[in-house]
Amino acid sequence: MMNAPGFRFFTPQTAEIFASIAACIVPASADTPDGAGSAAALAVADRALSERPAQDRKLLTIFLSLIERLPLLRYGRPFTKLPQDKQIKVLAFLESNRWVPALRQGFFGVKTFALLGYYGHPSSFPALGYPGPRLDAPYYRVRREGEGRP
Amino acid sequence: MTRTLDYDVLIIGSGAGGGTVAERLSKLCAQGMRIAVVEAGPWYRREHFNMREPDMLSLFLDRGAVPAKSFDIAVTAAQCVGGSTSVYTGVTFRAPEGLIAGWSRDFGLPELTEADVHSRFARLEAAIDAHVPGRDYENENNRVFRQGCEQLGWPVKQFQLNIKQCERCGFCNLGCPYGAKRGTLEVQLPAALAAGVELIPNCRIECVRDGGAEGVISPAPSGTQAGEHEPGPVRFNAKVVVVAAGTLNSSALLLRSQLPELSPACGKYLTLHPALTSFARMEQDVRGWGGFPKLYYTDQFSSSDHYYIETAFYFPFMTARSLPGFGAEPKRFMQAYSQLACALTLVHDEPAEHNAIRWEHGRRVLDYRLSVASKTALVHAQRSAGRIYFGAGALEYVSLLGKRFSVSRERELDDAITLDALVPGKVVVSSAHPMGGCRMGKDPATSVTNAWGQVHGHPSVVVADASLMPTSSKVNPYLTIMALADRVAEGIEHRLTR
Repeated sequence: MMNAPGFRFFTPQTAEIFASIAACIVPASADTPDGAGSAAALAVADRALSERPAQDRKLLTIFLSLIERLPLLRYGRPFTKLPQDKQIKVLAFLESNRWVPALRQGFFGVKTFALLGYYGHPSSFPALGYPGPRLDAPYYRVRREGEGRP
Repeated sequence: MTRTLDYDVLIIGSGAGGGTVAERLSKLCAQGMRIAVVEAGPWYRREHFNMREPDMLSLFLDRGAVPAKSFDIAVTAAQCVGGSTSVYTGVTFRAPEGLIAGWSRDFGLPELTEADVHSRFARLEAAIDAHVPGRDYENENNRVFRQGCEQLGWPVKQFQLNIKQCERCGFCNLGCPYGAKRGTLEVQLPAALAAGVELIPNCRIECVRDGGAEGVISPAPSGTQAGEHEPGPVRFNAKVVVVAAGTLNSSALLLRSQLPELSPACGKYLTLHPALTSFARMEQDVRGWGGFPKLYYTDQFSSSDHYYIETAFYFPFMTARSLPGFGAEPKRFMQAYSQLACALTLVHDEPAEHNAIRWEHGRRVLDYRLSVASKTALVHAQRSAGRIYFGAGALEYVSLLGKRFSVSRERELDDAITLDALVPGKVVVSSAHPMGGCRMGKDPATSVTNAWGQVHGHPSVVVADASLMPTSSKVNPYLTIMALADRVAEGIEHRLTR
């Protein structure tokens, strides 16, 4: 399967599924219009996922596919076609599933990368009141000097 | 084509153990001996640390955490030059009185004495500038913790930290961008390199043998310091091979090397110091990212319930990952990020044979299950941390072990925080202190090395990291690892120069 344009891990299908899940994990709201399903958050998650061990990437791909199909049994529609309130119910079922530990583990993994995508991107910082990295540190100073700026 | 490199001593791993061995042996370079440190991870120097969470994941083994097969727990360990000393907070604890004597007594190690190890603590502390900083290091996150403990009448103790000219930027766990944290990256390795020791980053060792090792050097990732050797397979010949790859990797390396007559104890008897983070929303700004993140701990329940509570701080992603559930509730809480106070509760676990690193189907497997005692201690600890914060005026308290997202009154803690919530995979307990797996002892049936770190039956293969520990160090193991590695290096020096 080809990667989606600009992505190293996601295919068009897995990107759509992941974005739908991520949008439930960190939903958009009036004061923060971009949730974890945004393109910027997806790009951060994609890069981190592309650098995970091969076995983890394979398992995550399988799990995303499972999430997409699972609601067909109950709702007759794939995950990405459900309204968000139903999507949240599906994810809550996975997160707290008492019978199949792999469902809880899989959800934990997806949640982790959704959170990394959203909270790892500087666009989330203003709403947190977090100023981000110290720009007087050597990393930034060296680069400014390399660009001829003090 | 495989090239061959010849050394007198090959040190695998550049963390607290490997770095200490490298520095201690570096004086042998003046006698013409060749010593190399190989590190599987990249070489980040201070000017490479950019303080961004997604980028700095590459400092860590498997670019994040290593989950146990049970999913009870996930271990965070660094894989970069300097090892976990590059990503820890600078906490420098001496092993508690009696711990080393207990190892000596219980594991048949009469050469390993409390006095010997403690004398090394004093010398190493001086070398890494370990000291108790002044009260001016106290930021609001630390002050809230102190106030809460004092309100309850619990002891508040200050950590000894190995920092010098600290900028108090708070980014210790993503690599110190100012070089103020006096870990292996800034102290032992520069000294060893100056004396003639070679450093080979990005070199994964596939197997060790008596007299050497085989490995592969990978290209340096962009934004890191490259080594001097071209990428490709390499065969190392060495009189002594020092395995200091960290607890998750050292026993895995010995197991996959299939050394003849390797102890059946290899990989077993792990301890991890299971830990959980919890958060309190305060009325005032806490701004935990400013100032030094970890100053205080309380050992109020160390003897009775086997845990410590200490101050902590995490950046946005790690904070969000440590909250229960998903959706609007944790997002609301995160929007008060600047008002969050944070504590880490850390349990002293006991070694068990079934808790082990295994090598299965070409992969390292972490096989660890939380004991009932550890789970019970975590619940008690999470309630206690809540009491500290309500004592300091918290508006709400969030624990991964809560029946609901947050608790808003102290009297609700016992009902709201329960063992039932500790469901593997839903709540993943964390660990940053893996120990054991190559434990010292007299009996090759139940231990992997002798008191000088020499693998039973393979005296030229020597272990020098946290995996040597027969039991948990009870406290942050950094200084104990260095003292044991220093002792191991002394033994090597003696054997090479006699």
